[in-house]
Amino acid sequence: MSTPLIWIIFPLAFALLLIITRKKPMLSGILASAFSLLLALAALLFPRDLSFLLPDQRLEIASSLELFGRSLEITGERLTMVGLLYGIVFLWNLGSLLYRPSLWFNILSISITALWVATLSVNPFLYAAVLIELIALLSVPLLSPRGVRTEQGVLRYLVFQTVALPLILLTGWMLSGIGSAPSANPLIVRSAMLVLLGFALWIGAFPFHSWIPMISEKSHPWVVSLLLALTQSALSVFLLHFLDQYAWLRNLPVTFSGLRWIGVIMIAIAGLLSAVQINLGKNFGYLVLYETGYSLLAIGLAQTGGLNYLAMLFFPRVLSYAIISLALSALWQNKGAHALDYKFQEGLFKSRPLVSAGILIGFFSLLGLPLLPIFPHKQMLWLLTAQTNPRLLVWVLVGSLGLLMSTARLMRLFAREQTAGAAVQPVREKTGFIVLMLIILLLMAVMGTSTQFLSPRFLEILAPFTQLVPIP
Amino acid sequence: MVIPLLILLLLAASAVITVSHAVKPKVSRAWMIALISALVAWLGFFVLRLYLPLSFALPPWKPDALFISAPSLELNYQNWPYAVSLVTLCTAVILTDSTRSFLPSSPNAWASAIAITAVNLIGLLAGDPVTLMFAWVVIDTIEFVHLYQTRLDRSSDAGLAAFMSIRILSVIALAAGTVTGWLSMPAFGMAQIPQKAGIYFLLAAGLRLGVLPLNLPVQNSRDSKHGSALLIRLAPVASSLALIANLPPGLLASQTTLHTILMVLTATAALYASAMWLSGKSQRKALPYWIIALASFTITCALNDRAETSRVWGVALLLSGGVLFLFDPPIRRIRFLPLLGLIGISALPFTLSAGGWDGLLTGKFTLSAVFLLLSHALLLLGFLRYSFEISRTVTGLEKHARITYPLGLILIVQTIIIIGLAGWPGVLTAGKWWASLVSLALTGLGAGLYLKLAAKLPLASVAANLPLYRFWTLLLKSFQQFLSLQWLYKALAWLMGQFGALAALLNRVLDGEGGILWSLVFLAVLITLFLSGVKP
Repeated sequence: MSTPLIWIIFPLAFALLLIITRKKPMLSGILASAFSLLLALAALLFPRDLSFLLPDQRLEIASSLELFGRSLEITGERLTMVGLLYGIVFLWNLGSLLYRPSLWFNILSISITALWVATLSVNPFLYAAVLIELIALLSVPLLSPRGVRTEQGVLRYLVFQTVALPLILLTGWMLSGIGSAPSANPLIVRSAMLVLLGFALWIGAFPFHSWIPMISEKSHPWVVSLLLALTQSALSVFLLHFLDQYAWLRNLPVTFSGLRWIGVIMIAIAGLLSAVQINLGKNFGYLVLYETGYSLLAIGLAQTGGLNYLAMLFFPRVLSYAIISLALSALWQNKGAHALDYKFQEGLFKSRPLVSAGILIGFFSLLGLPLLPIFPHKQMLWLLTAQTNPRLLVWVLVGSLGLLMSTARLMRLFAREQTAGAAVQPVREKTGFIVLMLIILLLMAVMGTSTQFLSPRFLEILAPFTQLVPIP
Repeated sequence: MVIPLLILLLLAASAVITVSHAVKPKVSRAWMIALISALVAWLGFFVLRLYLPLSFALPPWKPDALFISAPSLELNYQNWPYAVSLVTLCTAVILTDSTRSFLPSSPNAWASAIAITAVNLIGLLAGDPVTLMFAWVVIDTIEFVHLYQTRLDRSSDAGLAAFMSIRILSVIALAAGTVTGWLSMPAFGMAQIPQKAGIYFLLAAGLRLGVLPLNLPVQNSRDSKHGSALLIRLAPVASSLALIANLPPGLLASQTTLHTILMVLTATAALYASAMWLSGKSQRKALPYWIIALASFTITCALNDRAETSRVWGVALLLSGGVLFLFDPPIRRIRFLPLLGLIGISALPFTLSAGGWDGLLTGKFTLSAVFLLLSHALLLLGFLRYSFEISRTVTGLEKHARITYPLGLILIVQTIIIIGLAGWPGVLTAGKWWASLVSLALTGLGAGLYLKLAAKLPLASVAANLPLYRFWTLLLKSFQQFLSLQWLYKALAWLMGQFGALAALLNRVLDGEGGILWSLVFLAVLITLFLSGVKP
């Protein structure tokens, strides 16, 4: 028995088994939810030394597994991240019981999560690039279900992910020659450029961001939010692997300052573009970019403690995505992509109070409004930014104002109650939707008022990165 | 520990009223619970005056090494007058609402009045900026829901989005101030706001009060008969006023130009709002102007480095305003009661607001000083006007209401007097007696002019027969248009539209067939800029 077996191979096998139940979405959803919850809890509760003391013996679980000449390694320190990824997929599988975005949702969601875990645990870790390409390919049936025309956003997503693959692999090849080279070596600069370019393509950093709003406009919000939540969380940690592993990259003077600048530029651009959108789905894509900006900013602030807030931001951010996409899915249900156009949202406060509240709370949470879970961490990031370079805060402020304007537009729209003389009628929401929404809201409220609830646990994600940050 | 107990008492009473009314409706029981809890809180705060300053630490954010915030509640000489004023207002609302106990919605209105008071107490007793932010968000949400439910024009957003955006902007300003303050003094409390952060805090309070920049609250709402509707308008103001009272001196010591601009803007806002207050259609319609005018006075005090003197204007806003606005239904026989509210606003020597002149008028005689003196006189005139306009005699009040209704108003007047005598050390002062004399003379002149014209002409046509009436009307309207900042909002909307068009073009370019190539072009541009040394 080994940890990669439990959190990579078993889930993949389970996903294969789930194919049998794909025609019974309720059963498939329940099984997938239960299995992913089990994996998440196991990851969070497993002893960090991977050993169990039984009455008569000590049971040790191996942390690595050899596969095709490569090794997969999940140490105890990495289990929190694994728990987070399976926690995400649990929440989304639970939601799939309500919305059933695709017959393959449960199967592929678990497979993709297992592959993300593999991505973070493969050695040599440059081979992760291949796994990321595989994830992109597996995402296609979800983003573009059978019978639906493949949108350009999906194609562009594939193109960018595929272009990133050789860039990262090329870095691995170049790395063999620069292990002990001085930092001024041109080869180092080239490698750094290739790595950062590859990441920019993967994560959708400006100017390679266009695929995110494109797919979020046309694909089911529940699918998009799952894929983007997993991608954003896993890739942020994967970038930390690079920075921790390669001193040459870490020691380049422009690495961290560059990440900070890209981060704030993304915050500003995403915030401003969010303010002028006319489709809720597309707007959600810009919110994801806004948060990617914050992730990059936090990584850029690693030397002053920014990584702590990056780690603690993961779960609150996922909750915010969940609440928005749950509300958007309720709008999408039975009506399709056009239901997310702004022109259909008039009077939403009255017709669907819970849906409108979910959307606004999600927006406010990402904006960093007090009492919501992201606030404490973003406030500290603002402080670190001000300490490092106050000029960066101007960009952050611009992005925040853009997002505020975007929220104001939505409020204005939701508050209008009559179109062409027809009164708005309230819609009865599903009980499951109400329960799930309330659970998420409750979690958000508790995390918003108290930072000691759950958040510190996620600091363990940083434990493997000893070169980057000491855990307090 | 007593501070949270009093707040919890109010919240618990609100919950008990709501639940008991839902289970078995009984108006008298609900009223009694509301009154007893409000009175206990009222007495409690008076007793606490003897033990100032008091503080209560809420659980700090963990891990300690990663978070600076240490939420707390504090009761000191800066916020005690506001706390007492708010609780007084709440008690008075419940007492005067006895005239409306026949309305089925009354118990819910009392429950919400008590809850609103409790939440606003958290805001004005906040010992640190983070607690204040939390309270503001809750207060704003309550106010937003209230405005949404009571708005008249349902086919538009009726200014709701602008209202909420301004409130959130004020929270952002507060957050920015907090971060700026932490740079020089980590985990500072409201009593030690660092000088560098002061301007952000002033901006936050100014935005909420509608003064900096001048913005009018939503006016497109139904007039509720309940006093809780008044409370929901006045209570949120209290926490902003308490914040202003805590501002450090030397806010803009190194930026004299900005200081001058802000002084002129604030004085202009005061003059405009007081003129609108005087010329309002009714006292309820003029309520926002009452708030803006007196809030401008408090901001002026802070800009003049005398933030502590702003308390008198703030208390006058709440209590003198409260006694006038709660005089509903207006009864001719007890018209003297709202007139007693003038004690709070008159600024005569040895009254509550006498010390307020020290904050408004510095040694120099400036244009701002003229505006402020004129504003004060206009405020007094308006107060007199609305008090004397009452001519109705209400009959059919229930027996208990004949006692409780005036008692509610007397309670406010009584609190004005007590705060004026012992609110904080040094409150009883002659102040700048000449200023109150000038203001009083101007008020007398205005009243005399009005009476003289009114004696000759029918009341309705007095204004129309003033010399150069059309010119003055046009001037006032243009002034009103300018200060309402609608032109600015329209300009911003136009700019936003242009930016939207540009963004749409960018979207089309990036989403189109050549999107990938354009991405590479943008990348090349970015790298070129970066390598050439251009910093974003």
